[in-house]
Amino acid sequence: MITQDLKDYFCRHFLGRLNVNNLPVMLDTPKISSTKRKIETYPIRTQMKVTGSKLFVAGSLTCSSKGFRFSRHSSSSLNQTIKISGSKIRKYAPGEIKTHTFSKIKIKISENTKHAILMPQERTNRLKWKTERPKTSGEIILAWFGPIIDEAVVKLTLNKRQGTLLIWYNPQSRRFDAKGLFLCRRLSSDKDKSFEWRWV
Amino acid sequence: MAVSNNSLGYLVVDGAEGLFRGASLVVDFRGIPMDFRYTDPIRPTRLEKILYGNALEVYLREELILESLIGAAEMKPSIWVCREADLLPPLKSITRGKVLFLAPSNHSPLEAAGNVEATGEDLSYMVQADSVSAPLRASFPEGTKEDDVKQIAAMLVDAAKTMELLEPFGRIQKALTSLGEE
Repeated sequence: MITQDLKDYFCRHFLGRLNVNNLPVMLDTPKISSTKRKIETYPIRTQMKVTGSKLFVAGSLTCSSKGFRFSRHSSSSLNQTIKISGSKIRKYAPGEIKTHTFSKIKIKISENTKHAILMPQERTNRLKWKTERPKTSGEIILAWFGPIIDEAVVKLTLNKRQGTLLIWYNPQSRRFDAKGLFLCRRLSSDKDKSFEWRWV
Repeated sequence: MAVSNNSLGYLVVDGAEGLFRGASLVVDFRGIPMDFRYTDPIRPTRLEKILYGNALEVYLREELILESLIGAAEMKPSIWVCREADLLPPLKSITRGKVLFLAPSNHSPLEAAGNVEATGEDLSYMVQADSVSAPLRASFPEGTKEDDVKQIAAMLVDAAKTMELLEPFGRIQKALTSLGEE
């Protein structure tokens, strides 16, 4: 009450000249602590993390790979972390689908007997097999070609490079009597006249 | 198809380097051509190789080339001769006639022309067709009787009197080469 009287007194004498502050006398709110204990619980197992949960629905696929098997029914397997990788499927929109028909392999047969008739027959030197040889002194036998239908022959040519005889027959010929043709070389004659063909 | 006695039909089917072709040459016993047919070369595409798979070569060689050539020939020879042993069974089934595989050999000559000696292999023989060459190795398809072998050997001996039995194979090869160059 005294303080209030003094405050009023001075307010009347010095009104507007002095700041008058109010200092309320208040005590802090007392801190209240409870004696009740708070219980904190921590799981001792590792935190469960499941990715791609669609795999774990009842009766779902059994996932396995080399060295790892994920049982369908075992709940402990849920502790495993499965990594599923992939990428977003892009929408495929083909413009135009072309279809081709597959036909069987075809073959063309041509006839050209005329070409075959014009081709010469070839005889190899078979002297080494020929035991019956003409025995004429002063000459050596170089080759024997046969069998040849001498009366059907149109042309004979010696292929010097390969040592073979090329024969062109007259296809109209009716002759079938075959002979052999020896190629001989005279030892004592001119070089130009030293070779001789002999039908046997 | 006209039947021609005293004639031989030669068949060549090649499949080297993926290029298939074939030819047939029917000659009389002097080697003079009576009928010559040949196929255009066939090179199977990648798609055909995939679709036919392992059957491609057999299909091309046996069904397509061989069958077409024999079907196209106007002269039916007394004997069909091939130089690839694997062609014998299809050749027999297509022609239903006398067929054989004929090849040269290094065998020493048999005693006389006309002699036939078994090699030990099934239906394979050495045939001494003439007296101026080594015997030829001849094979026959399954089901060929001994009488047929003797009959065919006798025909080969007859033909060898007037021609070289293996020479037409070389002529076919040259003809195919020259036709391919044209």
